[in-house]
Amino acid sequence: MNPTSAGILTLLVGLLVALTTLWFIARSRQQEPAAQANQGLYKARTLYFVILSLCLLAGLTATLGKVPYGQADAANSQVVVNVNASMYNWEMVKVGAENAGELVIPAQKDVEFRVTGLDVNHGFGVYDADGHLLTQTQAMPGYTNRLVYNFAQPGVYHVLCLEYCGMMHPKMNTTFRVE
Amino acid sequence: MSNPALDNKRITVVYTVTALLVFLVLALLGWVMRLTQSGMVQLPSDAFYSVMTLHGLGMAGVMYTGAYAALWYLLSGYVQPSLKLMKINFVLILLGVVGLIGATLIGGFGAGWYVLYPLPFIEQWPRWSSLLAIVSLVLLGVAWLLGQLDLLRVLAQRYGLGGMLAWPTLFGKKSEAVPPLVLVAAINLLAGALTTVVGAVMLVLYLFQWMEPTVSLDALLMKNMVFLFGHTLVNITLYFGIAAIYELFPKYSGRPWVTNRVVALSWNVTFVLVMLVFFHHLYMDFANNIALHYIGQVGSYLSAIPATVVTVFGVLAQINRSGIRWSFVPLTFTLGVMGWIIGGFAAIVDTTIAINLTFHNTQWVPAHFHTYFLLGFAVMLFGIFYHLLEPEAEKLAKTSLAAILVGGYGFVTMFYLGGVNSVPRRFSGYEAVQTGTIAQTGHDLAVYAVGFAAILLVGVLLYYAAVFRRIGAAWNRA
Ligand code: HEM
Ligand SMILES: [Cu+2]
Repeated sequence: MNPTSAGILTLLVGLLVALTTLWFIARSRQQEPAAQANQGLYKARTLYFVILSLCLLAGLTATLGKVPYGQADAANSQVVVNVNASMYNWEMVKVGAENAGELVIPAQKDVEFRVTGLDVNHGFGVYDADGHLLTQTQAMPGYTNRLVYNFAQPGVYHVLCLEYCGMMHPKMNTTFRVE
Repeated sequence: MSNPALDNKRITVVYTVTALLVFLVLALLGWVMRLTQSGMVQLPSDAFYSVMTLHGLGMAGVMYTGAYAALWYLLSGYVQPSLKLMKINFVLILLGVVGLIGATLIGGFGAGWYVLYPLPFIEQWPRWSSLLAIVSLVLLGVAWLLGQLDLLRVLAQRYGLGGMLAWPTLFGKKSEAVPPLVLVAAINLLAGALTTVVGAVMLVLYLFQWMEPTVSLDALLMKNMVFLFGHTLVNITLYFGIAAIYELFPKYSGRPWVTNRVVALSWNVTFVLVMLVFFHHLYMDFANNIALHYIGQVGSYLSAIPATVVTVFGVLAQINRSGIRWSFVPLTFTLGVMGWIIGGFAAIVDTTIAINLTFHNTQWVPAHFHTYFLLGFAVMLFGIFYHLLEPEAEKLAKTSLAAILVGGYGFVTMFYLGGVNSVPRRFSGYEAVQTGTIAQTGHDLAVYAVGFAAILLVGVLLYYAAVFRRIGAAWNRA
């Protein structure tokens, strides 16, 4: 689910919750003893429990297959980029092309980023040129996180730091090209 | 002549008034952050991050402490916790708060509220300020832990270990059920105590690191520890608020709220869930054990069941065709639970690993937690404090609530829009970003948020005008 759909879903559910609340507040003008008033409510609760459980189950089955873990092993990527994050700099080097100057990544290939932090935690956030966050992983000292991404379109891509790392954190960004 | 009920009341009033004053200062700092992000105020980025750190740590701390005080007071209707400890803790907590203010605003300490290792130890601010911040957190942690243990002690004495957890009700033995207040308190105090111990260990390791800069700790382990402590703390804060609502709502609706088997079961399940869901903070640490990521998502999803099936339906059963008089307090409870659920849903969305990949550390995160804290928990707490202080200023209080809701929902909506538009959280300014329209969007949303936060702050001030109106009477009434 992309961020916009997630936002719309949240808005709709939020409105539903608000309307339900208001409806119950409005209904509270009527007065009945609790046992009598709530008979229907307890039936609704059972129904709600079943529906909620099904929704949660559906949500889990639909999304748990789409986790970003283990993809590096499965993909056996031909292109590997080492990403070293330090305050406040991104060092990105394609394995096998150490001195080739600007980083260029092939389009439509599984690219594996091996991401680590050299000093503190940073966040490796990959954006397209329009400002959509495409994928990310943490750059943590002492650990290497392996992130796989397949760039469909050639163009310029941006990296923003997504983990607060100190005073200059908002300035810690760079770009690379996909061809 | 000593009057225990009056003494209990007075110490609670002291906590309440202090919490409200600290809250106001921290809320103003939140506004200053939005002003900075909008460019209307030019705050250097080091100052921004000190303010951010104080705001985050301070809000988490003041919300917890306020909730604890309310819980303590309500429980003192059933058991007598140590009044002396409550007083000592007040001093410890005050010292901790003063220490944090000194470390951040004077010392410039700015590692963020979850003080992610090893950021606190990288020289960007004087070394003493890191030490002061850690020591202040130790003071707070000690006070909180002692407070949790003391309440658990008196509850276990009165109800027994299994009794306070409603096990007799759960396992079908014929025994009088404990009030839901006691059950919910016991469950969450226990989870709090267990995880605060972990927090204490972490802080001791931090102290050790400070004294011995050559040692190096495991960053991933530290992150697991800090979130086990920090996440659970803020989570039980919310549940303390819920516990208070279980206790107080019947006083306004005239309908009892009892611990039946469903209630007992769901809170016992919550006991496990509340200590497991913190793994959702580590989704982007691919190197963390993968099973833990799954536990994070499944656990987070599951926690929606007890929260809504039991608590939300419980609230609805309180008001459904009840003829209740909608004074300020039940309004805050009902609308607060509503905010808690809306923010909770947004959080569940974010605990979906596949979605977190493009929401993690965007403004979606402050969006959802400000929803359930500010529009959920703080609204409930304002109601609880009003109940306690009995200012009889209905009209003013309701006006303040309207402003808080309008300003508050507008304020968080700007965060949600930031999240949807991939605007990163925790940026002191967006000028340096040259990616698409992020800089423009981040800036514009901050401008609108400044306006909404102003309405919100006016609401908060009106609320203060209401509750402080007859504070002297509250002081003298047991
Ligand atoms: C009362 C009005 C409030 C305002 C105007 C406000 C504003 C803000 C702002 C602007 C940020 C920075 C967002 C960013 O990452 O760019 C922030 C962060 C935060 N706020 Fe609030 N906030 C308010 C209330 C609360 C409440 C009630 C809590 C309760 C827990 C809270 C807890 C936090 C935390 C934990 C952070 C994160 C700090 C960090 O990232 O280290 N805030 N707030
Ligand atoms: Cu950074």
